[in-house]
Amino acid sequence: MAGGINVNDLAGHVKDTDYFHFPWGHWHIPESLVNIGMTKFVLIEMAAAVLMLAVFIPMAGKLRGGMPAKGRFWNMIEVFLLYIKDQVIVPSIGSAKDAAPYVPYLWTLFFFVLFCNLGGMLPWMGSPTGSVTVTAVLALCTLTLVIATGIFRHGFSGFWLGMVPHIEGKVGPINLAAVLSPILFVLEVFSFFVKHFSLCIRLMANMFGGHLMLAVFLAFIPMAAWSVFCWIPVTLLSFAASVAISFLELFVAFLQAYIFTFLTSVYIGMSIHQH
Amino acid sequence: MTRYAALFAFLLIAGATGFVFAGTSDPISGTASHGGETSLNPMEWATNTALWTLIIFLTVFGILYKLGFGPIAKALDDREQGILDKIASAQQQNEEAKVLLKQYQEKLDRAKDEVRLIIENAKKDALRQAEDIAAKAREAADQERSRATKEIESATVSALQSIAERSAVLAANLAGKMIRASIKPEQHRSLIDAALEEFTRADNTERRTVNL
Repeated sequence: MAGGINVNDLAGHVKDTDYFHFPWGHWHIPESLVNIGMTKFVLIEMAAAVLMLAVFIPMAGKLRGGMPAKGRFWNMIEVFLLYIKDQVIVPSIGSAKDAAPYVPYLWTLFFFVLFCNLGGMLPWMGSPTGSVTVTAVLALCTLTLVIATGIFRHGFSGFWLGMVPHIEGKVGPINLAAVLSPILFVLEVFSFFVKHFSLCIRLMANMFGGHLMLAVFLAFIPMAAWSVFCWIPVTLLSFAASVAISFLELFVAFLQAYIFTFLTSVYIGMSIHQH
Repeated sequence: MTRYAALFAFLLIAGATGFVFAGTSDPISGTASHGGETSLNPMEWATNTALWTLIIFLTVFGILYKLGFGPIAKALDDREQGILDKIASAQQQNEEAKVLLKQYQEKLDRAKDEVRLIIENAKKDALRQAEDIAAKAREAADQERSRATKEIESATVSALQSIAERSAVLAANLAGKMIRASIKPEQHRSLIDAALEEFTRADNTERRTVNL
């Protein structure tokens, strides 16, 4: 379609599909895999998972017994781990003792989100976190963990009722706590679920928006192909803009992984230390 | 133990939630697009992708909890504890070193006092010895002077006696010549002795007068 843009081509680079779009053509995922739900994003998630196993299992061997990591790569990974643990997780949850059981989960969450985000920076790949399905599952895991933590710490009723802040005082004969507590309970429970829902929307919107913007900038090139005098400047500008947006996307990939992990830590901390 | 219980509860609830989603999936919208029309709706839901995501995420978490992040967290805690232990040990050794330094400083001060005392005693001894030596020297000098004085006195007496003797002999000879008389040797001897006695008496009288 000379001079135009097909929404399928545009969306194929942003959304989940059952094929990989290479310069030499489409590589369709085998039907047998597609039939059991394995799409492009699922395969990229698997690649991210394998990459995590390939990095962190050897890393555990290198650090065994409290030995320091050797080598630039392993030191870089250790810096990531220590930064997330000491600067994000522990301050958000409250203390090292409270945070200790959640550190492995939050490390897994951070690197899974980061690797999925970075998948979108690789040519012909994609970013699974640009799909609300993926981010919703991750947010659901966080929600489950937060509820499990709260119930484990305070008991079932203690966790839910503990969301309501303590109220004292009377206005005439009316007891404020009796009147406001039910209203606040509904609001706090609603707020609790909205906060976790916002986790998935924030991540998805950032990744989806960034990649869609990249796709749109690149889509200007075929759209301007009707005239060589128009095509050359548009191509140069589109290319420059795509490079700039790619740098921004690289930053956003780390930032969103950080935010997702940070907010999960904060929610866990809130379930441990209620009002 | 509580950590494993919380982990088990988490896996149980998360897994159950995933299976609920899977059980209610629509076979058509349950997967993503299949190469045909692809919508740009970012909120499009794909249940199979959700289920796979859940399985992949929980699997990688479970494996890494056992083989990766769990041991890493323990290793980092061990290292942190090791560093804290070393710092505490270093602080304790520092305190011990300060105590030792204080003890050595006190010993050094005591040694300095002892040295000062020894030097002062040595100076006193040296002074005393010098005074003794000077006193002995003075005494020896006095003795020497006294002895010399006595010798001089003795020599003086001897010289005077000799002079008196010769004077008496000369006087007797002179007197004999003058009177031409023959004086017997016994008379001659008695005249000399009398003259010497007179001379000695007169000499002693003069010396006492001088000493007074």
